[in-house]
Order: sequence, then structure tokens, then C-alpha cells
Amino acid sequence: MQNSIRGQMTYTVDLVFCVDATGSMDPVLKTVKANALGFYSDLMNALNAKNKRVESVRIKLIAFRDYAADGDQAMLVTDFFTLPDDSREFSNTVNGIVADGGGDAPEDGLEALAYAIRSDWSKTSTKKRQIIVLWSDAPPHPIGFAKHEALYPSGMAKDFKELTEWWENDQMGYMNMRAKRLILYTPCAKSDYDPKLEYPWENIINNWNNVVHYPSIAGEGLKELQYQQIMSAIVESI
Amino acid sequence: MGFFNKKKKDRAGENCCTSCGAALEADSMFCMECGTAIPPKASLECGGGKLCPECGEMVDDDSNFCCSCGHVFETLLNRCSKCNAILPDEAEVCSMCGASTEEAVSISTAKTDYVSETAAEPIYEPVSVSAISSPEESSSSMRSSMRTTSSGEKIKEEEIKAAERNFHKPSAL
Repeated sequence: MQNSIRGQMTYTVDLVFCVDATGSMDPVLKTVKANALGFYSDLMNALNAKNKRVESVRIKLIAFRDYAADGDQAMLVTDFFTLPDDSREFSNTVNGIVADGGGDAPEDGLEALAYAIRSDWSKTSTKKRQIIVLWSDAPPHPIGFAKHEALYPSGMAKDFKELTEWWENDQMGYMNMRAKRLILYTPCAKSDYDPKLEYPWENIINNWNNVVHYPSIAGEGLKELQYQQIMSAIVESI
Repeated sequence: MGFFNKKKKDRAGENCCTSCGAALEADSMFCMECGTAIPPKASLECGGGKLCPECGEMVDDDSNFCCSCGHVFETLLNRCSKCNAILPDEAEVCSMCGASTEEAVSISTAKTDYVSETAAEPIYEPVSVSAISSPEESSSSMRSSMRTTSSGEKIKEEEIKAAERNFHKPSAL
């Protein structure tokens, strides 16, 4: 069934916000929190300005830290909120995130990405966008770095190659080849733990399809990032 | 340690909202907790305001309590609607004129309701320090609407509950 309003193509948009919730990330978390309640209307206004029509918007939150340091606070995942109906609940949930913890410099951003890829994406529409936005001011641990931890999840991709399969292989059914978008606000920083993966975020940028990267400064909480920049990036990806 | 965790003597001299008691940032024009407009300091320095009968500090004319010692001004007290005498909280009859206190309660309730409707946030009541939990205490012990985290960030109780309600801690994919 073709999605259309007045003969114009419309989209169903699923967004997953993966936010590094460790202590240094307070600046960008404040930006996200301050704009969470008005996010839907801001998005609609920006889309209208670009003459893009969206039929429905759902948004999901993943707040990640470090399995080795933060225990059961290392990976917090919500279901999809449907906007605008759930705007207040979404905003309250975002504002309930505390920038805290983290242990060493690298965080478990790749595990967060794995959870994002395996989201319960909408399957009811042919015209859709599956957009993952990830904010971190740190390089990620190699995936599986903390697999010996009691709370490390079962079923996680065992290495970067498998995670790449999850993203790239349409046959696996996790992401739609045409619909998927990955927006990374991450630093170009080395991971001290894996010499083979010196610039892990850049490895994604250079090898995965449908990825946009906005380099951030390591360790500074993306304080330079403005809300309008985030909104523009999302709108451009739709 | 948040403002409300300090003992009264340690709050002396700190700039605070005269309506709800929240700490004010320098040069604040409005209280970030309840939205009350903050009068320019000059209004107190030029002779405006009233003296606290308990500690002698100069406070704003409209203050409900003294920021220095916590003295509660008469505006928050129940008064008899007939003779204006101050009534104890549980008095059924005015000891001065004998009038029923039901009318007096409804007046002070109406005043509270008016204040509550106009405040952007719930009214601060001078509660004991122990009622304000540290970040380590469980949410079931909370009596105020805000919680201060170990990093000094203030988060509303409803936001904490929303996060607890909606965030899962998945053990598998």
C-alpha cells in the first residue's frame, strides 16, 4: 500500500537515540533534555519547511555506559514512544537520565548500537525510515570487551564483523537496506584496548552504508553541539 | 549537598526564594523552582521589607518565611475569619471569639490553592532535613518533588519515576 497524503509520499519514521550517559556527557544530555518535550513539533516544523511528509513518528531511547563499571546501569533501553501522544512521557524519561559513571575512557557504544539495530522497527509501511542517532564523546570498547561480566547480555554480536553483518545484511531482517540511517556524533579517537580497531567509529564510517558522521571532541560531552544541528541532521536523513 | 540539606544556621546569608525557599542563582529575576519574581535587592537595601522577629534579618514584605532561620510568618498561619486571632492547626473553635474554625480553614485552604495555582512548581514546605533524601536513598523515602543527584543535578520525581518505569535493563538480545 502506498503511503500518501494528497498524492505526496509520506514516511513512517522510527528514531532510536543512543546516548552515552556517562559523567562527561552532561552538556549534550542537557541539550537533549531541554528540547525533548518540543521535539515532535520541532521535527514537524522542520519537515514541513522541507516539504517532507511524515505519517507517524516513534522514538526510542538507549542510555549506555560501561558494563565493566556500571553494572545494571550500563545499558538502559526503552520501547518506542509514539509521538506526539507520548511526548510528555518521552520527555520525562529523557530528563530522568543522569550523566554519571563510566569507569575508563571507552564506553560500550557498540553494544548500544547492537541494541539499536535489533529494535522492534515498524514493519507496517513500505515508505519508512529507521534512523539511529548515537552521541558519545568516547571511543567504544571492542564489542565483547566486558563479556565476562555477569550482566553482559546473551545474544550480543560476538565481534565487529558480526555487528557489521547485522547492519549490512538485508537478509538478516534487522535493518531495511533503503530505510536505515546511522548518524554518529562521535570522536575520531583511538581505542587503547584493541590495536586492530584503532579508530572504531571511523571503521564504521568507512565500511558501513548509510552512515553520516559528525566528529566530536573526545571527553568534552559534545558541548559544541547545537540542537538545531541535530534537528537538521535528522531531517536531512528522512 | 543540596540547599535544603543544610541546617538553618548554615543557610544564613544565602540568597533564596522568599516563596518556596529554593536557592537562587546570582542576579536571578525569577525563582527557577516556583516562578516567583525576585525583587531587586535595592528594594530591601533602600528600606523595603520587614524584619524577622526571630533572628532580625531583613526579608521581603511578601515573604512567607525567613531564609536565615526558617521562621514562618503569619501569612501561612490559620486565622479566625471573625476576629483574626491565630488558630492552632487542629482547633475546632476560636478560643478568642468562639467562632467555628471551618470558615477559617476554608479561607487558608483557598489561599493555599491560589498560591498553588499560580506557582509553576509545588510549594516548598519547611520540612526537616531528613525528609530530603541523598542520592543513595531509595525513591520510596522521597517526600519532596525534586531529587539532587551526587553531581548536584536536580531531577523531578516524576522524571525519575518515568525513567524507572520506561527503561528496561535487558539481559539478552
